[in-house]
Amino acid sequence: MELQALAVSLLSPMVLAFALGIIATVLKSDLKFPEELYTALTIYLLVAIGLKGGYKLSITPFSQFVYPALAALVLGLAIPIWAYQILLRVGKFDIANSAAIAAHYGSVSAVTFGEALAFHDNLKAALLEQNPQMTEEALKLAGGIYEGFMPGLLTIMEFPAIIVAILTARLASARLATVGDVAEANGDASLGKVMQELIAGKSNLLMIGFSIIGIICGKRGWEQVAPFFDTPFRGVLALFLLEAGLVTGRRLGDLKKVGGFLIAFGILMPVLHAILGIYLGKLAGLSLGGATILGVLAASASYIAAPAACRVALPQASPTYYLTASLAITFPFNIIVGLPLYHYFAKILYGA
Amino acid sequence: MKTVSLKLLTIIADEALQKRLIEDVKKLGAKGYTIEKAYGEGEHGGRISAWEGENIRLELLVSPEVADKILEKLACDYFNKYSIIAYLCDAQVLRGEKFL
Repeated sequence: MELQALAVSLLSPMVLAFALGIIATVLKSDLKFPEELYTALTIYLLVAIGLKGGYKLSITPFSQFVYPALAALVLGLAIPIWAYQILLRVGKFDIANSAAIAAHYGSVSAVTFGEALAFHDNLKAALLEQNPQMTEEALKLAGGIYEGFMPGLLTIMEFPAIIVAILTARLASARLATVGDVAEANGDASLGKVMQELIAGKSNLLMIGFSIIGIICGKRGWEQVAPFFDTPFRGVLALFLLEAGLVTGRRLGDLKKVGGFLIAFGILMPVLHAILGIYLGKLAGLSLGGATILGVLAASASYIAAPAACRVALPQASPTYYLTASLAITFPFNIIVGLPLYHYFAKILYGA
Repeated sequence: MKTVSLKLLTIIADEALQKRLIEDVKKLGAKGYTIEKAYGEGEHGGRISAWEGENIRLELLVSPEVADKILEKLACDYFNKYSIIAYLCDAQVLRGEKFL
């Protein structure tokens, strides 16, 4: 059964497209995504995730959503705090780099999330293939079913971590600054400006906006757009992962530059965060599949919203560290090894 | 043709700084600007895709005094934090009085 989960994850077109992207860079292929396509794919994925999550939320009783939402918020606020301390004290990174990397690990990756949904849907299909008589209840116990409101948790976890990390860096630098350094602070974008850019930033705006649209429109509304936003979702995800593979391939050379500590951090922290996420998910009353996905969210590192915010708010931090860690280490680890591993952890925790 | 001697000030910076830069140069007396996307590599690593962040090339035709003020602002507020390049060239500009 564990092997089956591994095969489900490894042999999906999405993961294979990611691998092809890496191979293409290694072979020095001329394959390159037009920039507008990258932007368009991102917008499509964010809208699709937000809309479906909103619709599912509209048919979920509030009492069912409130504890998982709280668990997601706690994870989003707490992860950057200890990630920052570990990076600063153990990793010996400076304040800006520690905060930027912490922001990435506390925030979440919509694409890893999309891949986690696909993993669970495929698992359900594989289970049903083996035993077409399987009941809804049995599927739930085996992790083939998850709560539909999961995108709501993704939205909740998107930006608290980024704000916590930026605030931590501001406070730490303020403590270090002497009178002579005050002039230097002039170059910083003000915190209000950073908040404004985060809230109005495309990933946040689209996800929150379309979640609300999904809630308002409900089932009838969702059915009108589902042929465009539901069925092609995984195809678009495969295209996006091909592009992610290309970028990751280019970043692989930077692995030597970032050093062993960050590589270990990029693998161990997600595993710890996943266990914590699954545990909190269980406490909050999520199903096995739902808790696994909350674990994946806790484990994932942002590479769309967080880099954009860090470029503005923490310009001294080096993208070589934060992008390489989140994109070239944690992202591939999560979608290839992480998903089946976290599924396995969840089964142990649920005693299934 | 009658031309006016002005300075062509070119600033290459992170796209994320676009709004702030435009606000600042306008405040300091620039009448207009031209922006293009830019790619490249330097001390701070490669800036080669939309995903990893892109640069802009911001070009301004300004009087030497305004150019000086802008460069000073850049040196004071930007250079210590951001990867940014700025340089001046002389330019003979047609209808140059538009830019003064």
